[in-house]
Amino acid sequence: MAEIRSGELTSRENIKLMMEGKLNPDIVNSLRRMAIKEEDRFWKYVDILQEKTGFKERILLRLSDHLYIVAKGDERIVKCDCGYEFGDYRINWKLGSLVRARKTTEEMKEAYTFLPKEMPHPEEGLVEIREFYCPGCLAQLAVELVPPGYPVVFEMFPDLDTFYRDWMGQPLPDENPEWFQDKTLEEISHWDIE
Amino acid sequence: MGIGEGGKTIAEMLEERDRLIAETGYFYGLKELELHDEDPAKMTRFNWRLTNACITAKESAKLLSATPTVRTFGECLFMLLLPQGDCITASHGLAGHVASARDQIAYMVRLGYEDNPKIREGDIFACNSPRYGGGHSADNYTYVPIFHEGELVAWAAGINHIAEVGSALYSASVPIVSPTTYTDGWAYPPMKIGDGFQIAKWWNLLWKEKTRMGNFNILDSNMRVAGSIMIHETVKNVIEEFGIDYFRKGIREILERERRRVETIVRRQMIPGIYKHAYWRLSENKGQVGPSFPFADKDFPIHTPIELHLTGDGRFSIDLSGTSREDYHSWNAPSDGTRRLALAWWWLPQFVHSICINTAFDYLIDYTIPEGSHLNPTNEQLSTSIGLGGMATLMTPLWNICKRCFFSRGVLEEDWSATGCGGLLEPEGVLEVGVPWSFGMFGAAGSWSTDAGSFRDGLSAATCGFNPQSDMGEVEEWDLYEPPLVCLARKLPPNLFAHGKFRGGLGISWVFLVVNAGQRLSISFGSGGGPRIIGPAVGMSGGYPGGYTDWHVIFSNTNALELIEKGMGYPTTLPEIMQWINEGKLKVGKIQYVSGGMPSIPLKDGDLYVLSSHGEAGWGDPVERDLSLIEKDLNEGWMTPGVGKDIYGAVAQSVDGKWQVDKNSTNKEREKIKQTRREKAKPFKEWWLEERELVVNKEFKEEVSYIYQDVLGNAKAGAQFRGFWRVGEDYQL
Repeated sequence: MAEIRSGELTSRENIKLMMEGKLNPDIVNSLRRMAIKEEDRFWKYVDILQEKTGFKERILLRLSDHLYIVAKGDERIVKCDCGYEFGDYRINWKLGSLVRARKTTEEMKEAYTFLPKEMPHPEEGLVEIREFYCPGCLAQLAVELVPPGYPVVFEMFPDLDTFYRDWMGQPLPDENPEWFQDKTLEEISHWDIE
Repeated sequence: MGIGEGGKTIAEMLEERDRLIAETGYFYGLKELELHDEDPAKMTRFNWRLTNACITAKESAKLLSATPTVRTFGECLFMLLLPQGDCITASHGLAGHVASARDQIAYMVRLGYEDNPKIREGDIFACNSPRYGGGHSADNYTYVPIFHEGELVAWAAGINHIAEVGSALYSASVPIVSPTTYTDGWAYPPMKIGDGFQIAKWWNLLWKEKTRMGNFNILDSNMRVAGSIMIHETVKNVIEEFGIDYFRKGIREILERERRRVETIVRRQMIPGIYKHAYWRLSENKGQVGPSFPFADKDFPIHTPIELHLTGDGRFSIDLSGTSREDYHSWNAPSDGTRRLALAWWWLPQFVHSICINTAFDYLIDYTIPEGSHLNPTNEQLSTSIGLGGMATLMTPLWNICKRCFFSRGVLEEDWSATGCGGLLEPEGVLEVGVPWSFGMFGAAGSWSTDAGSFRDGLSAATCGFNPQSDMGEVEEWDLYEPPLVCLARKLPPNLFAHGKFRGGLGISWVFLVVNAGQRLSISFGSGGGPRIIGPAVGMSGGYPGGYTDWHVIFSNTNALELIEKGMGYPTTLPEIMQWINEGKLKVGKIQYVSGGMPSIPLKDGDLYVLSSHGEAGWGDPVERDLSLIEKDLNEGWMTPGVGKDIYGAVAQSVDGKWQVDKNSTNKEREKIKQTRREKAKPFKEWWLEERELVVNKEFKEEVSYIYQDVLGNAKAGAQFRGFWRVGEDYQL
C-alpha cells in the first residue's frame, strides 16, 4: 500500500468511500489505528450526508442508516431519507412507525436461521421480535428482541445543545433546555385509550 | 507509622487520592504533567520500561502454566499497580482485570491487613473471591508488594483463569449451575500465601484438597508468583535508574496523562445524551440442581435495563434501575471489583488506545444499581460462581451504545461489537488407568465472531470480547488435554449469523468424536443464554439481533468408530452428519439438542458431539444487501439459497456450479417482502392499544411477570413502565 499522509487518510473522499463500503480495508485499518480521531470528522460527515440525502433542512445528527434529526423551521424532527417525517425528535421515533411483532415461534424462526430446525427455538410468550418500519418507504429501521409487554426502547436521545456548544464549539442558534426533555411519555399520555 | 509515602498508611493514601480527584478533577490533583513536559523522551522510556516489565513477565511466566488456556489463548495478565491499587500499566491479555485489582487492594486496606497479617517486602497475597473484588473463582489473583527503603511504592500482580474451581455439582471453571455459595467451589478472600518470596507449602495442599485439577492449579499459581516477582525485580531496577521521587511522581503522571487521553477520545467519538437498552437472559436451572435445592429448581430470568447518561463533562452515569432481584442462581455480582471488571470489558476496547492498559477511564464512570438486585446482592448465601457474568451482560449493550455514537459522529471505522456468547467446553472424566482429569477448552471463547458494522459484514471466528489477545488455539493442543474428545473438524457452517444489509460474522462449528472415553466422561459448557429466548444481542439500524447461539448436538450409540476403521471417513458438520444418517451410512441411537450453557452430560465411545457458536448481529435492512455480497455468501457455502430468498429477497440460480443472483427477479421479490411488511405491520398506536390490553390483563408468563415485578418495584423503572402503558400507579404484578 502506498504511504498515506494523515491529511489524505482522513480526507472527505476517504470518509465517503468508507461510508459506501468501498474504502480499501488497509486504509480503513489505518483510520482504525488513529487512537485520537481528527477534530473535523463530524463536519466532513455531515457535509457528505447533506449531499447524499439532498435534504433542504440542516442535518443535526444521523441516527441510523435512514433516520436523521434535522432542523425544520423552529422544530427539530426525525426524518427518513425517503422524506417521511416522524416528528419531534424528543419523542421516540418508533411511536410514528409501523410495527410488526413476531410473537409465535414459527414467526421468529423465519427471522432466525442460525439454529438447526431440530433445536429448541425462542418460546412464544417469553420473547418477541419487534420490527419497526418506515411508513414512507417500508425500510426496516430497528429490531427489538424483548419480553412481551416491554416498553418500546428509546435507544438514543442526544443532548444536541451540549454537543454542539461544549464539544463542537459551534452552538446551535435555538438553544433551549427544553430540547433535552424526553417527551415520549407525555405524547402517550394524550392518546385516547377508550 | 504506615508503610506508605512519608509514613502514611495505605488507607490514608487511598483517602488522599480520592480527595484530590474530587477536589481538582485531576488524578492525584496533577494539573500539570511536569515530568512529561520537562523531558518527554525520558518519560516515554520510563513508561515503556514499566510496560515491558509486565509484558516480559507474562511472556516468560506463562511457560510455567500447564495449560494452553494461558499459553496460547493468553488467559492471563500481569500488572503494575499504585500502592492504592490503580493499574498503571499491564501486559497484554486478560485486560479487564485491571479494574478489579483496585478493589481487592482496597479490601485488604479496609480489612486492616497493614496491621494483620501485615504487608512486608517478600510477602505474597492471593484472592479469587467475587465478594472481595474478584470476578469469579476461576480468575485467581496474586499480589507481590514492591518496597523501597521500607515504603510500599507499588504492587506487582498476576492473574489467570485456572483449569477447575472445585464446584460441588460438576467439574468446571465456570459452573453455570450453582444454587448457593456453598456449591460454588473454592473461593478465598485476600490471603497472605507466602513470605520471603516463597509460597507457603499449605497453599499447594489446599489446591489439591479443594479442586479437581490441583496440579494444574498449582502450576498456574507458581506462574502468577514468578511473573509478579519478575515485575518486582524490574521495578527495583527502574527505581535505581530513575530515582524514587521520579518513580512516585511518574506513575501518577501516567494515570493523569491517560485520563486526559480517554477524555479526548470520548469527546471526539461520543455524543452527550441518554441511551437506553434492554438486556435479559434466563439462567436455566430447572432440573439441574437436584432435590437438595428446591428453591433453586427453576429458570431465573435475569433482566438488566440500562440507561446511560453521558454528560457534557464526559462522565458516564449508568443507571440500572429495575434490574432483576438477587436469587439462587450463579450470576450474582457481589462487589465493586466484580462490577468494575465487567465494565472494563466495555471501555477498554472502545476507549483505551494506549501503550499501557490502565484504569484511568474507571474514574469517568458512576453507576446506580438497586440494592438487593443480582448486580448488588445483599444475601451472602447466594452463589457468585459467575459473578462477573451478570454484569458482563452489559458489555454488549454498552458496546452497541458506543457504536451508535461512533456512527453518528462519522467514526465508522470504530465499529467493534459482539454478542458475548462463546463459553468454555469443560469435559471431565476418569481415564481407563484410573487418572481423573478435567479441563476448560477455550476454543469457542477465543473465536467470537463480531456484529456487522455500518459498511461491512462482521468478522468471522476472529476475536474475543473479554480478552484482546485471544486465540482459538491449535486443535491438536486442546486434544492433548481432553484425550477422549478428538476434534474431527472446525468449520463455518451455513446461515450461522444474524441478518442485515451487512450480516453478522459467521459462526463456527466443531465436531468431536469420543475415543477411549475411559471409566467415565462427561461434558459441560459454560455460557449464558439458552433455548427459550436466544438472548438479545442488538442488531443495529434494522439488522436482526444475534444471540446466545452456542448450541450443542450429541449423537449417542453411533457407528462412527467403525466407519473410520473401515476407511469410510467421517462427517465434518451437522448438515453432513444429518445427510449421512439419512443415507443410512451413519447409525445413531439417540440425538440430544441443547442450547446455551450446558450442565454436565455423560458421553461414551463413538458418540459424536457438535458444538456451534456465534450467530452475531446484523446492520441495516436485509433487503438492502448488495447482490454481489449475497452471491459470494452463496458460492462460499455460507448462506443457503432458501435463506437468501426468504430474508434477502435474492433470487438465485446455479449456472455451471456458480450461484448467480438475478437483479430483476430480486427487485420484484424485495418489493413482495416490503408488501408483506405492510400487510403484517400495524401503525404504532394501533399496536400499542392491543399490547396494552395484554399488560392491563396481566397476561404474562411466570418468567415475564418475575421481570416486571422488579421493574414495578423500582420507583424510576416502575414509573416509566406505568407511564408507557398508561396503567395506574397501583398497577402491580
